[in-house]
Amino acid sequence: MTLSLTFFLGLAKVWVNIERVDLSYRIQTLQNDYRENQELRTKLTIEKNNLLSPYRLKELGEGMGMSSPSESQTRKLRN
Amino acid sequence: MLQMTKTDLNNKKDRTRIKIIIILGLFIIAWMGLWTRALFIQVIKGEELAGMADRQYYSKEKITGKRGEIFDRNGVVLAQSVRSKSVYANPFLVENANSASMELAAALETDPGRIKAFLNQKSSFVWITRKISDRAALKVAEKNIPGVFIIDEHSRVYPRGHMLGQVLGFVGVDNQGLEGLEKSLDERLSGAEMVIVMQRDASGHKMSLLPQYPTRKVDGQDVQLTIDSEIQFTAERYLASAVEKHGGSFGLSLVVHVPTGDILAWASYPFFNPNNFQSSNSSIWRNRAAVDLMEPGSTLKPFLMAAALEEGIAKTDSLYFCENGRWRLGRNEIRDVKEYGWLTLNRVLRYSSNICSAKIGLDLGPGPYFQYLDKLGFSVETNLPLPGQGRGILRPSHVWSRMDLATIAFGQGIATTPLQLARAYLTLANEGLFTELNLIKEDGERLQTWPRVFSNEVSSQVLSMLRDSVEMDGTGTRARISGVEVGGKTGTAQKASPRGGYGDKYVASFIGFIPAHDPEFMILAIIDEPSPQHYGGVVAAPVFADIGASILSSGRGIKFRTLPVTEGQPVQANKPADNARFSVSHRRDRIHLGNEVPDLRGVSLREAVESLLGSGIVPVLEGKGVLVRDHVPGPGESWNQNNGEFILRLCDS
Repeated sequence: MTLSLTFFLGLAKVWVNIERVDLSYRIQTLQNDYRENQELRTKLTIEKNNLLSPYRLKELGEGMGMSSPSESQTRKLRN
Repeated sequence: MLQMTKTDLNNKKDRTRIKIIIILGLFIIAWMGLWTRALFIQVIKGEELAGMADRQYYSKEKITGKRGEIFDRNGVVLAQSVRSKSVYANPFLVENANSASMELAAALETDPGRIKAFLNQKSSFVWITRKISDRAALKVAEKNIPGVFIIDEHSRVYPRGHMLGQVLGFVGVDNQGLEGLEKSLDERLSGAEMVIVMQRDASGHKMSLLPQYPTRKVDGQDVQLTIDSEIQFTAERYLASAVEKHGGSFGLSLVVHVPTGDILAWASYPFFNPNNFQSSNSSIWRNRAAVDLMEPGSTLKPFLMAAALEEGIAKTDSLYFCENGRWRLGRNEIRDVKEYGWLTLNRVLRYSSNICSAKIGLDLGPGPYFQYLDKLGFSVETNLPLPGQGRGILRPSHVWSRMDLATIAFGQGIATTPLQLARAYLTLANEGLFTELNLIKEDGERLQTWPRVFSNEVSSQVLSMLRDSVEMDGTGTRARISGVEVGGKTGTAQKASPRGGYGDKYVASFIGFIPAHDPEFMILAIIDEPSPQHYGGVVAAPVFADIGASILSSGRGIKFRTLPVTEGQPVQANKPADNARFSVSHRRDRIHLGNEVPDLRGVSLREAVESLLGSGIVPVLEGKGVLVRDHVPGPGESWNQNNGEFILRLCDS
């Protein structure tokens, strides 16, 4: 009786250990994905900031014949 | 015969016993050997061997935290760290240096000879190239060259290019701050180093059986500046065009929010792009506003007037004789640009007379004048976190001669940094209370009480004089902005020549306030060595007017005083930790536009225009007012009713 209980407990311990290692691999993969995505987001934010840079927009606007309005051309609207 | 057989049998039995004893002995020796070995491994060498095993299971890794980011006051990223790849090699593991260098050179688009020289070094670690693009790193990885490895590093990116370049500074290849804020805030921005333990499996893969990857603990802190990148852009743009137009060698403009001392824009021209600092030089990346000294010239006169008024030496209507443009003081002669006779105190400032200023200075005396200049901070650097700030040159008053006092009265024989000058003007604008400049947002949020330099009444009188200098017939008339009263002072300082005395080069400057009374913004513009025009009123005053008009016509306008930036907004909403949050602008819900024209009657003009523009319809406005009285096509009609044109008729109420 004691022998069979010890045997089953031993098996259970081995199973738990295997699960633990599997889980740790999965966690590692997810952590890597998370870091990669975060890094990608940072790079995309920089790209967005580059694209929205006022200097770039000014150049693009001027290329399309646009210019900033002069003082007399602006009209302030009250909320 | 039988006797012999019995004896043989006994001998045989004896041998068998001996054999058994020998086997038993061998067995006991083997058993004892095993036990001894077990004792040796488990008890005597146990700890050491367990340590060796742990070294195989676990690996130690040194990680460096990410450098903190720098944001402007609205959360726009000014400096950011990104992970980039670097390539290194262990030349001892490289099998064929020739083919490896050819392959690497093809992937990195560089000279194979240089790479071969690296691979021939007698070292176990050499950098091949650092901080390359992800695409190039992928090409190197695909080649799979033995002995060549790729490692992650952090590199610094300044997404807005040269914007605020000299103030931000830059970092070296190992992410150490070398100039500007990157240098002075290095300790705060740079990430800490930490050794972490990872568990590895038999094939060397890392496993996460240990607690969470602790990078967050070692990352550097973010910094939020008081700079507003929209205003910064405006300041840079108008400064650059003025320096180019007047052939100046250098230009500086500073926009300061008066009530808080927050610096909203800080432009220096020629521009410096910290992304590519190697192609620049120290004369460009030096932050001249903080480091270089200049003679303030006439821009110092308002402080003389304020000191004279405060000490009761003069009143705003006191008369001074300006000697018709030439005045001999001892062996020297002081001259004015134009010939003036009798002028009241406020006209002395308005026309910027050197002779009358010298006379006021002499009446005031060196001791009191020095004390005011000292209290205004002309002998101490500002408390901005910038490396190598100048302290100015203000000699002690007991060594001043009569001529020294006369010249210091109109701003020569004293040297200040542009920042010190801006801070002194901020004192005048803030009802005579000494106010420090701020560049780091959280520094400005600390409650501070500053000492009083001038009374409220005196500073208000000087602000009136400065308004007259622009709005009446003074030297600063080109600084006018239609629709709002502004005040300011021009400065045209002769530059000291390296051979002694004054040369033929000038510094043109203008410092002004918007509005003239109870100011909201202070703008300083300095242009170095403009030619042929060199007057502050001609060269620098228009820069003030352009930047000021642009700020007023932008959405920012005059509202900071009534809507303080530090109050009203929850601090959490402005945390720069998550920059994605800043990209979403909060807009009010627009009126929903369907297939039919909605009823816009009674709606505010702004709301109606925003809703229409949001759907690509550009309305034509008729009449004056802020409310929609009527519109064509009318409510419920089709959008194309009026040949595609949409007319909004306005009324006042």
